[in-house]
Amino acid sequence: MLFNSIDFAIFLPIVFIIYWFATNKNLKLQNTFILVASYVFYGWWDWRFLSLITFSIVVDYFIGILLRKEENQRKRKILLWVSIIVNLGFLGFFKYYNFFVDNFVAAFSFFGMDIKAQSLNIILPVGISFYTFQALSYTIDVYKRRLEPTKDFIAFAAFVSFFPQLVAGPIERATNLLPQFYKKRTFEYSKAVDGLRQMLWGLFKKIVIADNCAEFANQIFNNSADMNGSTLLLGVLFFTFQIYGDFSGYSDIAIGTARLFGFDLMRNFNFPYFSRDIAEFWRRWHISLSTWFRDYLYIPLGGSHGGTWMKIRNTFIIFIISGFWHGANWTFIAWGALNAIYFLPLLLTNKNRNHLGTVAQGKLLPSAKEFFSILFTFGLTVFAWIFFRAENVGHAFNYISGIFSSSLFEMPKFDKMERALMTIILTGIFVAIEWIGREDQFAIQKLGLTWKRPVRYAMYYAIILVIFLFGGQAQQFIYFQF
Amino acid sequence: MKRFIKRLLKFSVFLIIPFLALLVLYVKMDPFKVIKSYDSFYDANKNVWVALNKDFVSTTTFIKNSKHTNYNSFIFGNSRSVFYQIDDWKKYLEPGSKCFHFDAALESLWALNKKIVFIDKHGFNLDNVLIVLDHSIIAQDKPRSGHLLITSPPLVNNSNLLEFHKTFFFAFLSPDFFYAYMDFKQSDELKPYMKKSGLLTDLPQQYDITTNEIRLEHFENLIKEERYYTPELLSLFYDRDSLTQSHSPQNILAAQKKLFENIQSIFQKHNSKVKVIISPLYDQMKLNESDLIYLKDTFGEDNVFDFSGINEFTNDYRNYYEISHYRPHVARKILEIVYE
Repeated sequence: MLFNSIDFAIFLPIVFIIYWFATNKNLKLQNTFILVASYVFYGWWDWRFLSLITFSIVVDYFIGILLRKEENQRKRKILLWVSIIVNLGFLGFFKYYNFFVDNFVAAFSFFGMDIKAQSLNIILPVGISFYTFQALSYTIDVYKRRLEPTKDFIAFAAFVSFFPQLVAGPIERATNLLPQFYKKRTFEYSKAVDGLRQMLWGLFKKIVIADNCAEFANQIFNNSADMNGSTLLLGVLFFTFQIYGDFSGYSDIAIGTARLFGFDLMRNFNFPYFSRDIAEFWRRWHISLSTWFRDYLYIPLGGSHGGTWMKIRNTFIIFIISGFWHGANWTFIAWGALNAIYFLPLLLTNKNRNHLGTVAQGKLLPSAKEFFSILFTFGLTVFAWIFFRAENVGHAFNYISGIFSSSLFEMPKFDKMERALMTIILTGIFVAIEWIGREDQFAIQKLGLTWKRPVRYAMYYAIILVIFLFGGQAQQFIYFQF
Repeated sequence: MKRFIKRLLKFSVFLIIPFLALLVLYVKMDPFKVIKSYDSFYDANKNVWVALNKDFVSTTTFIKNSKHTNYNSFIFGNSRSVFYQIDDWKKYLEPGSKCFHFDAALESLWALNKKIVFIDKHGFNLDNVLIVLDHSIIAQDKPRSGHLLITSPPLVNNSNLLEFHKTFFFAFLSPDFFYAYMDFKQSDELKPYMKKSGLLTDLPQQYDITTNEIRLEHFENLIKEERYYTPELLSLFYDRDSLTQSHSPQNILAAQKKLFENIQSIFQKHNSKVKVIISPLYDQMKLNESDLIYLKDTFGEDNVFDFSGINEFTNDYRNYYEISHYRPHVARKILEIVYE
């Protein structure tokens, strides 16, 4: 079920009413209902997906129980590995099997050996990359004794399958979300209103910004061989805002929905395009995934301690795996490696933690230095997105050489340019609102709170009207494929 | 809690009322002809149409006509198949064959399979079949979306009924269409901007309700009068490298094979006389060799005819209305080659 669908618009009020009116007396009932609603939400795509998530839940739950009882370190390690193999095994099979088989065959044929291996026609279960990582965080934390394993199966199952963030994050930590299933939620007016406002802003980002930009990004990337340099540059800029609007929009709707049910999810985006260097960008983009890799991979590998080579090695490992997590394609690996190259100079010169606060805090405009730092970082990010969006690495290089050609100085030329102009104007307004609200959790968190109610409502109606009037052709959320 | 719901309801009233009003308006006007029942989807007396979903037109017309006509011969394909005219085809069939154009805009292999399954399920014979393919149909192993392309509900046991009507309602609400349609209804005049989006058209066409055949005789007349290929139109015919033969990528993979196997099993059951035509497209892209071999293995070496690539049909722009559709005389010539 998509957040921007009629199905969800019917599903959400029903679940909300039953949750607060029929199950609010009892914690067990609340959790059971969340679990049932989550299964309906997920099964709406394909009921067969439910078997996989159920298997993951059962395995991780019982491994958690066994880890609690087991004192023998060797046996504990075996239990941890069983969880890792089951979770990553599913992920590897469904997401990466064909990639490895195809590359294996290609590598052998390169050396003149013709081997036969059959690719599989398998569907990638929606959100598998997200919930497997969430479930893994539980077993790893229990193994590390950072978290007491739960005996409450329903609470655990509801934690893994919690519908607002099940299919595209934020990838929650068991230490943050699971304890919230142990306490009965009570309705808080201000939290629910704040949740609705965040959902509204998320829908605006998705439907107005991402879906409109997608139309032109797709058109330009799919016909890149026939486009001039300036059009190609515009194409990757459209994609830059498409992916941000899409993914941060989803996260806003997820966090807002969770707040309607009394839950606090972790923040996933913190205005990443206003970053002053790449290290800051990575502290602000897909925070739940970056911190997951930091805590469960980078730090166990030694992190930034140790010698220069170890730092370089760990940085490349983390970025390349992070890239590969996004999809079974060399383009994602190239995107990860490129970001590692961006990041390394900052790490090696100890400048990776220079910008921990918000840019131009308390001011309307940034300084010239801040402005150019933001622009430079944004440029690096845009360049990297070419690899992320391209069909293959060759396509990415052709795209880049197309941009850096003499036709860069020609007028852009593609279909529906009038509509594209409207998209550019809307994106400009969007960036301005994001800039104004950059010190809050989401751009309109405090906007209009002190205004009189009719004026505030007028603002909500205006956003809804813009969503309705300028909404692009409905597109899947990009991150569902990851 | 009660305060929250009360305020939310108050807030929503201003959204729900206009929404319901638009819903009523939509049902009343039924611009895409998907709600009410019509004798014919295309009215010969009216010169302006809203672009309709051809899959729905074909399926609904078939269901309606099949109550009194025992169809046994079918032409399948996308809009390129429209120009294989029944009168031309009938010459090669047994006398008394009842023919029907079961085409759809941007047809997919997925929906083509659904149509054949549907005909079989409803007890009609598939004695003669003409499938007009190209690489774009073969590649599409999943249903298409969008109001002009969504699959007609009866083909999928009405499983997409809600999605189907939702798609059309939202197409009606899309500002571009809504404004153009209301303006047209108000002024009764087709303005240039209305045609530009392709949602409203005044293209004169002849429609035969029994065979579901559309003809563009107006275009043929203009061509005869040498008024069709204007400089503006000619500028759309891009240059091709007619010396180097390019090929489409391999599109028949596991999913496509499954669909083709199902289609062929139905044909075998009906002992159908099948001819598969690979269209001569303006892009001059030759159908992938392994795809062609697969089609010949499945439908028989003598039943698959590949006209794609650089050849006498594709070299001459005058064989095309525009870069997508070839003209009836090309289809006629192809039928001649195929059947003789």
